[in-house]
Amino acid sequence: MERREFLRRAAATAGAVVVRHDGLAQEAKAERRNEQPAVRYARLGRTNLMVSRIAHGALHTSKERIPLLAKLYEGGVNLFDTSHVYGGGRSEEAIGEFLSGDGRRKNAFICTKMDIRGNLQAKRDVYKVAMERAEGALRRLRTDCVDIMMLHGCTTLIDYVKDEEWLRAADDLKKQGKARFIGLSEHAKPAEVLKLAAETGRYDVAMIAFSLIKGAWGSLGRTDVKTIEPALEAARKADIGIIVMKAAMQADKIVAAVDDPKLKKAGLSPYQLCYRYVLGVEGVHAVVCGMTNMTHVDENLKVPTIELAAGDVERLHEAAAHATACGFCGACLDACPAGIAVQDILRFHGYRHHGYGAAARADYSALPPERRATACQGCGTCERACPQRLPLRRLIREAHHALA
Amino acid sequence: MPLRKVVGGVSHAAFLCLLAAGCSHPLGATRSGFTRIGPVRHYSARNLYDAIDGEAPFVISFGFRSLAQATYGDKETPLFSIDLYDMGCEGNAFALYRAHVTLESKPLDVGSEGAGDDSRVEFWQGRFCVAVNALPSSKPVSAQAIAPRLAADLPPTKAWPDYLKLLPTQRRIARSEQYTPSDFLGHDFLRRAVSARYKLDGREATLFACRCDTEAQAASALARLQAVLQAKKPTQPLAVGHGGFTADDPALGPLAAFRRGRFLAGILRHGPDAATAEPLAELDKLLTVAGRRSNL
Repeated sequence: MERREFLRRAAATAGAVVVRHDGLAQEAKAERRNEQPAVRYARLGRTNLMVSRIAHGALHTSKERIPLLAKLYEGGVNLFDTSHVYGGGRSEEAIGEFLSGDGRRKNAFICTKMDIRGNLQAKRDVYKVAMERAEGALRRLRTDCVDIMMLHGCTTLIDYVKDEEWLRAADDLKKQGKARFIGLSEHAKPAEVLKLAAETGRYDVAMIAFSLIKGAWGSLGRTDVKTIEPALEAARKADIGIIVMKAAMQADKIVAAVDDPKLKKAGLSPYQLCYRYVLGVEGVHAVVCGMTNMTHVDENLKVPTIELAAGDVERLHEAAAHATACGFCGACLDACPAGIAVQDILRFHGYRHHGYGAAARADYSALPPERRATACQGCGTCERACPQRLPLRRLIREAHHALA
Repeated sequence: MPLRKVVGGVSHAAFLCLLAAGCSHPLGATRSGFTRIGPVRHYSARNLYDAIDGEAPFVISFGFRSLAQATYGDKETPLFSIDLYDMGCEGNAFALYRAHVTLESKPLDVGSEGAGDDSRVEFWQGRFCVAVNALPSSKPVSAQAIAPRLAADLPPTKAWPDYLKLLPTQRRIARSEQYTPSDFLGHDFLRRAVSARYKLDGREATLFACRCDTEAQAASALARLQAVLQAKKPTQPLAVGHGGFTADDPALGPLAAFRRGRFLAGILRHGPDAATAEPLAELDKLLTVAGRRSNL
């Protein structure tokens, strides 16, 4: 049976009654795939796809990490998010290779994204390039239909949400059976873009960046829950499925919160708390986690079942608000009489917190010994120069222990 | 005021090195007869997200140092842009290039290695990983014409990463080599992995080698890998290196792994047989030699 035909039949037959959030009981067909008892699933808006609340963000996925996909699949994850720009297509290739085996494709939902920013900006060949991108994605993913095709949110899509050529391509992809649902992703202005998407009535899903920790890394975290709530409400009325991304960036900034006895969440990582926080926001159906190893999978699959007690969310907000981090201004570099690479050492330590321990250790070991933390004379000049008054002597010592 | 503060906290050391080496500034005021529009934009790990959004963690994972971006055009009409990633060393630049270059792009003779077409060219050379993007326009320029001249303004090195010497060259599929800094096969104990695909007896297989700091670390990693695989299916001994074994993994198919000194190595997607005996022996031999070198 052709895959498209299979999907049409599956959508028509598999089902359950779903009650919409707005209280109006409405019968809808919920499409369930690869569900495991220990995993939580949610209806992704009007798509009616019952997606795992923890989705796999495949930015770092390539053939070299295929066993990770197997672990996710066996664990009950059924939403795999990728893009042709991830690893120049290697992410789609790996997902295609894995899901095309043993009938797994019919048990998983694929979301991919197309980057056509240059064409949108220049208003040239938008339709043509969009259709070509879709064909390329289908070929690499070894499928004739993706479940969700998104417009990739490079910088911001604020000027292109209503682009007629893109929307014409999106409609045609649906009509041709190459994409079941249409979406967009947005990093920089999620609240504004989400509102626009809801206004058009053309988008089924939106992937937006926001997190507990505000103002963390570049533009990331400019949007917090207060600014996005009205947009989430608009999305809820339009029954748009909401997937959150970048929810745990800079999660190390709330390390202190993990040890807070008031939170009583012994054994949880800051990443788990960040993901759990986002899943608790009303209107959010799933969170995309960029997992690269089995430990991440084990940790993240537990997230949806973490119980938050009354006051926990407020305490997490407080922890995030009081978090400080190196702004990499360079003041310490100029101040240190011993010439220690304070800023670089903290940067490498930051890489480790992002999950890139090997790269961080390699970078640290490449520093000349006289510029490493071990050469610190403990004078404290760097701390007096630091505009954030960070305890730099302690921080570089900790970095050394972690990276040496 | 220090230069790095003038440009927003990003060190210009790499570019100062280029100028000292007698190179033209790769992102100077003019390039290929076109004028730079606006200043060069510099990014560190701190704000890389502002330049490339969610791809930032991916690039950082390969040892990223800084990114310089510039747009060139005719008067105020942007015609092409250049992304110049300083990755610190050729090993990192190669690794990022191979993990990031568009999968189906055509190989080009630019830099140490390049690929692309008129609309986009990517290449790496020395510590730099570069992308030239021709922007959609009524008078399009060719990225293929711009890239070689840009490469000529980078330090003229053709050095390749030393870690590639860990893998046999015979029957290796061209441009199949990859470097995975962490979480090879999705395991946090398998790091600094170099891998490449081979054509053996009409079938494709992947040879790999992970570098550990000590023999004890390598032995521990091998034991952990074996335990993971054994939980699914029993493993069998393999007479190569130390602690060698074969296994059959549902996701990877047949495979073999062994330790030689502080290296953990093996073959994926191909069980040990007559076709793999020679490449495995050669891999073991290369690792024995590499074990005597401190830079590998």
